[in-house]
Amino acid sequence: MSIEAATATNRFGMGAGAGDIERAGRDPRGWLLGQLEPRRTLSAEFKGLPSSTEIRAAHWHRYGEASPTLNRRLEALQAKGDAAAVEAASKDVQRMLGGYVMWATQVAHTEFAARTRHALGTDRPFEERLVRFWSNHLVVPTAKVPATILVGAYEREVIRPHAAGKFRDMLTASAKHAAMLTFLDNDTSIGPNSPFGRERKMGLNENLGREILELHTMGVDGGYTQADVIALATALTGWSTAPAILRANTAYASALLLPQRAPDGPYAFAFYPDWHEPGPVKMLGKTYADEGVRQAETMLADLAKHPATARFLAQKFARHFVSDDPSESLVKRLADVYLAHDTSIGAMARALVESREAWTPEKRKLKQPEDFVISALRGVGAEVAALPPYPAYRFDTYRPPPGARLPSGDRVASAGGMVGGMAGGMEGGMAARDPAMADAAGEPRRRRRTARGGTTALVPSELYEELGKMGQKPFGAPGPQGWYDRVSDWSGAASLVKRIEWSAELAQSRANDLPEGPRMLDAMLGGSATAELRRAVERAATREQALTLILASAEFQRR
Amino acid sequence: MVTRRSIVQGMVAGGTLLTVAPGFAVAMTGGERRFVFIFLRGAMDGLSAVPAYGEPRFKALRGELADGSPGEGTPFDALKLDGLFALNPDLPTLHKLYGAGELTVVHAACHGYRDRSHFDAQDAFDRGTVDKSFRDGWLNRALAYLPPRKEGDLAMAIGPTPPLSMRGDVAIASWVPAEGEGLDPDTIVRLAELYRPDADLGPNFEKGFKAEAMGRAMADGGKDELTSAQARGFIKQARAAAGFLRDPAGPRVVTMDFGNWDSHASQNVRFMPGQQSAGGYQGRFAELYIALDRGIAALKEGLGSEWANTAVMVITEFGRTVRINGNRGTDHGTGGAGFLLGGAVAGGRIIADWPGLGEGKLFEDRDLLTTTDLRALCKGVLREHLSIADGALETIFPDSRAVKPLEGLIRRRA
Repeated sequence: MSIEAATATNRFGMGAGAGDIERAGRDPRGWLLGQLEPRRTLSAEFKGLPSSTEIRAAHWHRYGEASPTLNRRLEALQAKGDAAAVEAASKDVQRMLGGYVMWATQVAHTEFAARTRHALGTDRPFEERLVRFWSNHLVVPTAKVPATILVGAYEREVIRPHAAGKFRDMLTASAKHAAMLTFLDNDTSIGPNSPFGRERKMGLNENLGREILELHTMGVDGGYTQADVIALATALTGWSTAPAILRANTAYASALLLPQRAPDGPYAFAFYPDWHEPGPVKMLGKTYADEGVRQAETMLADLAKHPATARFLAQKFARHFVSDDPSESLVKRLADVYLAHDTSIGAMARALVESREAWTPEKRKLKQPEDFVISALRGVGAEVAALPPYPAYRFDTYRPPPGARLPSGDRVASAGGMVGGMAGGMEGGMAARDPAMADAAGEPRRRRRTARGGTTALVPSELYEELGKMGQKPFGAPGPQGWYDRVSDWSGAASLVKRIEWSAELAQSRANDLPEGPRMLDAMLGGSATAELRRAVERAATREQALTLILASAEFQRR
Repeated sequence: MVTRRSIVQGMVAGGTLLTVAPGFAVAMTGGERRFVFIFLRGAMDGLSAVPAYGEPRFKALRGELADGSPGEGTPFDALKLDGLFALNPDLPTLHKLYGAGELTVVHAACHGYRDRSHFDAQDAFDRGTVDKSFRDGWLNRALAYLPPRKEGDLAMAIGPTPPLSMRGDVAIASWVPAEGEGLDPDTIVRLAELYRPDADLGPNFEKGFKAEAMGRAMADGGKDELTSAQARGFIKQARAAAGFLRDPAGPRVVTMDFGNWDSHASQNVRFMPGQQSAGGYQGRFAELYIALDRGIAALKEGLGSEWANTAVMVITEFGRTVRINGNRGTDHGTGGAGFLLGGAVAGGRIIADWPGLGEGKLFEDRDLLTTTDLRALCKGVLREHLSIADGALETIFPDSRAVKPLEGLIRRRA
């Protein structure tokens, strides 16, 4: 058996299921390079999922608008001193808050389910690895609730289309996406000398500008200065969303809402010229004239093709796939190819596949928990249940009257309906059968699996929790730097024990439906399995123990 | 600018003011020191934990969030500390520790961060600085100044991933409570054989399953009627942490995260004895205080004679608004309360340069003003309890020269 076929599926892919190693085996490099060709159709798993603008519209309806309205009503009742009415109104507010947070979690579960199902079923696992790598590079994590509802859409809209395309395009799309703009606070960054900034005495937020330089492009040692950070942040003033919400100091009450101005349509990116700091800026020695939104666009394009960026990306890319400390020659080759091909990620990926260093039989990297779980599920042929494309919101306590015009300009179809195109056939229906919803409704927790056509599928919300216990909550990176990516970041004892125990549970539930140990070993690790592991699997006391030994082994944890 | 008056309020004789003797020296005799850092994530309400019941405006501002004053005779009277402060009625163990001189309250305190984002505030605390270019944590930087161990890691993070405070160059152990039955011993033995040749994973495999076996044994044995898994989990983790800290080869520094303190609504809902819903439900936030209290009790019990060598720092990212909000909760604020407790602590007092709750005294007319920077507490603990030199404190907490370590926190050793 060829070791390279196993390497192709494990090191570059999402792990091998039945027949994968044979498929890759004829031409492992060709199998990988074929996946860099543009995809013609959208994966079925993502069809029907709402866009970020649709999600933001719903968010607005449920929260952005409901929160101040309900709170104002409560305050008015408190002023009147009607105790019973205050009681009822404050319950409404609580239900609204609780329902909102629950709904946000369900949106994340839905996106997680779709993304996991796609990773389990795809015949382009290398492409999926690129998606996940870049998703982590330009990361928007779920740390803030308003970002929680957008992380999945962000990945679908910003990362997937460009995963093998031009980094420049991905970078620009990222900096213009509502998820990134709100996560790194640029949506409320205002030029102090802009008309709006003068009037309201508001100013710059340099968060996005800084992270673009430090984390997205040049890297912390890339040679930029604080003045460059200010220059980029200044040029980015006015890059916001429609509608923009200028948060007041309180967490939930009285957000200051701005008039709706949405050149690119409601709930999407918006450039507000009267927030934009007038005048030229100078970054890395070059002066950029004030051309409105073009100013920062030009700067981002220049940053994407800066040699420091090429180096930083090449190093991170090689570290992810090859080893914690890739050779200088490999990093240089990847950086050169990236620059020679107009910031092409695809070209860089091709150069990686064509390098010798990436194919060493020694497995120097460790799978991160989410990749480990997916590879194990692919290995045993497990399925994850699909969730309804849009979770129902069952705790609405605020409903705009029928026919009311929402800030987006949409009309409310009917009382109880939802905004615009996302009207809710989902309410009740499928969502009521969703196990995550059953949990939310307070049913006692127990291990459940939903039946799907003879086999059993895992429950997404449970898998989501399991990953949290392994230290990698889906979409839950610790900060704008993303998940750490060295072996030592993931070899910790607690997370390792969790992964091993989870392997044993999976083996317990699956082993009896699967071929015997040695055949499973061939399917999952092929020629890359060591003689020691093969012997241990052959000598296992039971089929279940054999499968546990494979999934839990250091060899399977590595790639 | 706030001038620091560094007043230490004594508990004895109706709140006599004592100042701490300068030049406190740390004697390094007796057993090895233990340090536990408990981060209450989500922002514990300092005025719920340590109500300033003696403030004239307290009840008016807090509305139904104010527990009964000590001795008032309500079902939930606060537990008296002195003429001004009391403890939350659900913290009886902490109250006993205070009486025994083993608990110090720090009030009107927050760290250097002054916005109101949980995420940013927790990160700033964990990093030890608001400067986001730091990617490691203050406690990990501190570990580098402690004598290295021959065997086993010096520090352990309880939880699936170490908090940012523990991330950095110094290797640490980590542990999460096991669920289910775990692996059968035969499979563990076979796997151990397979893991041995792996230089990165082999040692962690052994460490992990050893800790797992110990933790399993130690976390067992407690019965809790609390409904929240998080509350029960904390007690379980505290019990296990005590076991790890007692182990001669175990860690000497342990971090524990305890979340869900973000009490925007229904903060003080409690169920009276006899009218509980199934499972003895106490109310969501009451359960957190109960679990904190029982967790501390479990630590003390489990540590046994090592309790005398232990200091536990309990903090949160910021305080909450002084006034009750429209949802019978409180919103994100600034100044809050924290605790330093343990047998090694020179306790029985309240460290607060108390700003008061009077008209015009609140920060932005909503929050308790911060008069003590919590980095001063951290620095004091590192200096006196872990004998870290002054020079190192500036590396551990960058740009904090102006924040002087609190003094007299730890008992002198005989």
